[in-house]
Amino acid sequence: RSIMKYCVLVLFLSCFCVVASEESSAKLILTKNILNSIITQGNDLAIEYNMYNIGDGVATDVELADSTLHDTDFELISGKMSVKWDRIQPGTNVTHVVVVRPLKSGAQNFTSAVVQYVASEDSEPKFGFSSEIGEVEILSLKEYNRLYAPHVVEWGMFGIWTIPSLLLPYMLYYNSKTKYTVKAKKN
Amino acid sequence: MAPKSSNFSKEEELLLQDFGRDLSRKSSVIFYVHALFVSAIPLWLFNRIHQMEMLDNAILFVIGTIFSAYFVALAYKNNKFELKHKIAQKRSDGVAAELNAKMSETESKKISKKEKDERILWRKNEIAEAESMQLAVFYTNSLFLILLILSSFFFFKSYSPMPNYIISMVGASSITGLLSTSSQK
Repeated sequence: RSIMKYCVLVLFLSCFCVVASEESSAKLILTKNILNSIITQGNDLAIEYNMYNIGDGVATDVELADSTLHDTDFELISGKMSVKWDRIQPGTNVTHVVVVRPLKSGAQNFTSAVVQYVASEDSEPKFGFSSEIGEVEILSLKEYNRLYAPHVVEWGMFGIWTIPSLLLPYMLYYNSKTKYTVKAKKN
Repeated sequence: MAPKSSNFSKEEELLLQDFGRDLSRKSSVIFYVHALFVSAIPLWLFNRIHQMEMLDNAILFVIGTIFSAYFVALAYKNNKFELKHKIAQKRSDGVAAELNAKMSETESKKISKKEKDERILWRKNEIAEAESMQLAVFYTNSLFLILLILSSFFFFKSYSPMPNYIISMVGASSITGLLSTSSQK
């Protein structure tokens, strides 16, 4: 009996040890998304950064930095390129949105943003990379108008141009036709 | 007895045939003007909707317009010939009635039957010529424009403007010309 008690006690204590030796640690996953469906030069583009803490510890001193959107290619409209959070609880997520305006058209490569955080107490800062968006085609204003504008005026003018081509000949034909068909009926 | 509208004598048939294929100078001019105009309409569409600059693509536009005008004019000619025969048959009674109404009683007694019939035939030919021209222009233009719009804004919408223009113009005008050469007997 005493041996049984002793074994249970040892097991119980060892559990504690196991639990005590496992430190709670945070793990952050960062995703980067473009919210627009069509990207055009000169029109606002929204980029969303999502950070998920999938670990079981609190992430502290979290710093998100995206240095891939250069001043020469993108004009920052709202939001900041580097953001700090004090803590991110385990199992939660945070979102940050940046609005930029592309200054150039053509193919643009959107690469990863970087997050730096402290995973558990007194440990070294860790780095994480966001998901990459890859190469995206930025339409010039001309292309955008070509593909998506309704062109009501243009089609209206087209209708006007077709009057001498279509309506006029048909009216002449129709007048002549009725003139000579009516006469036959009268006879 | 005046010949029935559906039953021409051989000489009259020949006469109509002779007048058929060759165009008078005036008709040719009218056809070419119409053809050039209808071939120039797409330039407006391509300039404003596909954003093709006029000056940048001037050579391409000129060549395209002339090429398409040639085939459209060919289509006019063929369609007019096909239509004239049919129209002439239909207008027989109407023309005869008009001429009879115009001539007074005394005049119609003086002129021989043959002379009257000749006048009717000549007038009928004139009317049929004008009407077939107008209808041919209308029909050919409609076909050309519909083909052009379908090909440029539906089938080849995703192509870049220059190939789009070439394919649409060449395709539409060639098909229009080709369809006009089919004759229904």
